[in-house]
Amino acid sequence: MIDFSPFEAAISLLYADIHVWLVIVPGLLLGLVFGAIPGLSISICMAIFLPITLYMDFVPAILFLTAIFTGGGFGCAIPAILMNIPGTSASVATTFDGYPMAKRGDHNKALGIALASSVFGAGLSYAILLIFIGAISNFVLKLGPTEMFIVALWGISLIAVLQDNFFLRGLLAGVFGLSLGMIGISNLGVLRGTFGSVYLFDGIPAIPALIGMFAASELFNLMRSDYLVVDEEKRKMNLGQIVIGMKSAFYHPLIMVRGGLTGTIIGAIPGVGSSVANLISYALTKRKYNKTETFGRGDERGVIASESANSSSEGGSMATLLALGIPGGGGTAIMLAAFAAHNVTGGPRFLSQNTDIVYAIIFGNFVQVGLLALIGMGFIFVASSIVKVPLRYLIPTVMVLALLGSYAHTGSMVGPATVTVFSILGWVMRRYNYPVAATVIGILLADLVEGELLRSYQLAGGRLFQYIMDRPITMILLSLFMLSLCIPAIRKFSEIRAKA
Amino acid sequence: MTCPFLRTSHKYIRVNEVFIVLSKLRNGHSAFIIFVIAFHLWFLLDVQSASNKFENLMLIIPLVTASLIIGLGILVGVVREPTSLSGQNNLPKIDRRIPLLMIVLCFYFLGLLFLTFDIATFLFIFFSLIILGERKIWVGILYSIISTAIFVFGLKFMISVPVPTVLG
Repeated sequence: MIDFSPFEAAISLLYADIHVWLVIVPGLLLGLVFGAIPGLSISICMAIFLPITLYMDFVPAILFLTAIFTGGGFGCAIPAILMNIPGTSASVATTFDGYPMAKRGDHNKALGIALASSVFGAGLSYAILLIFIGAISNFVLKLGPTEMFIVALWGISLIAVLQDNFFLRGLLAGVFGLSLGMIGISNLGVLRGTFGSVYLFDGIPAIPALIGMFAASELFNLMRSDYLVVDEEKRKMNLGQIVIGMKSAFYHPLIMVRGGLTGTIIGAIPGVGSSVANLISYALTKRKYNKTETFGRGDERGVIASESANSSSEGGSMATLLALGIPGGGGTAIMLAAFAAHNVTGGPRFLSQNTDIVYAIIFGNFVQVGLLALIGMGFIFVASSIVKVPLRYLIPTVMVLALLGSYAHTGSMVGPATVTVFSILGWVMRRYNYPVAATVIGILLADLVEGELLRSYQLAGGRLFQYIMDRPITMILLSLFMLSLCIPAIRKFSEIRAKA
Repeated sequence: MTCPFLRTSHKYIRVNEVFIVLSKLRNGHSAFIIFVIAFHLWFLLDVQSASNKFENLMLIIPLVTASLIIGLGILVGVVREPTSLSGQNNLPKIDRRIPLLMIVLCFYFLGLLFLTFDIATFLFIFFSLIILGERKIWVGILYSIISTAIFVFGLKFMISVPVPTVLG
């Protein structure tokens, strides 16, 4: 719970230094721009601007980096909604309903909804962080490799569960992604599936694969029409619609709160984070409200669920970073580097001895979240003009961005090669109703899945089954995982019975 | 596509059924499933040849088994589908420009590899615009030059990514 003495110290710390506030707006703008450009992720932005933080004090440096994190958390929703390209894996579920909304001409509203949900989710996660940082870190410490293994598998299988009519195709896509993700050097140092090529030693680069499967493959299908939004009337940019979208997000407070809680808890799990949080939140919402089968066809509740979860996972990952000194992903890993550059080590001791700094970071993030609502609104007003661009210009431009972005990400031709191959593979998969998201998540989490399984096996001394049976958290998670896999079969059975 | 021996005798009807199944397997969907299964089998052999230790195979064996079971399950579904003999289901016809753009994309990758980034990007954007229906050549050239300048040189000078270029 909140300790009030450092609480006051944190407020005076923030008011004493003007630099703390000067870094927030540039950080947010950088995050929005880098998040909105496919290929240029939040991690790239933070890595590029990390050297600048060396000239700042610790608190402004961390607030600058968290501002990039917060801006990027929403920025990646912009291409997800407007072009069906998740800026990062955190906005995969945003594409499910955001893009159909944009195609329908509701892009302004969808962006407004995403912004409001992001702001709410991020704010909620920092509020939870403020109150429960100790409890969160204790919970995360209790999760062993078996639990992490099941959570990661769950994340992959969720896409299949979300596929109403093509469950098996979703599963096959997930299995395919996992296998593709295992290409390269294993945790045991064994080379697999590399064809002897040094470029594949580190495996298939996940971000270029994601760009290829989502972006380029969809661009091939867009050729049929002249504009992203066919109806000319609906192509107009409308600030009013963005505001309406922001308001309508608050008509579903339960979805936002659930998304925020889901994101915070899952975001706190190292290595899983926002990539899985948005999917789990979307799945939970779809399961509860999909009686009219509007999900996947432009239901605003899908956008709210995904965006509130992926933004709130930022707070969760900060909890793990601050309380345990463990980075949850690329962004927090760079933040850990900034910690080290300022001779600060995150962890329980940092939390107990520098509680005022921790609170100052949390308060600074509250301000960032408020500013994101204003800056984000102006940013999406400009960004949404993309629907006015004829597709014959947009398609090659985005393809060039995808290939060059992947080159910037990998620093070699492996990136463009991956985008090219996976764009064609993605197009084939889309044509036959295989969810490309399952394959991408499989590639992203393969390393984690294999690593955690191996650690579990080693910890169990070869008796993995006995080890799992002795861990109640694993058993609960395993039961929930199995139950979620059975849901499509149960639904199908009840549909057949209802028809009979 | 129909078998000439149809309806002549029971024996030939059976031949015709086999012919129908084979024609369905020939479609793109079946080819994709067979590709996925083949990839998994090859991957298993490759991993096994690298190391036979249980730890090395403990995730791959279940994955290969799952891909076989699920893949064959889908394949059976494809064969049973009440489709036309061509096996094309109700999928929309493939726009002729899609394979063309895929080829241009592959050439773009090769261009990045063997030419320079500025020339390859200019050529890719220009030819894509032509394929996608831009009729004014000068507009295509101008747009290609401007976007190449923004993206390639933006990458090179603003984000300091070292890219090989002819100009600059």
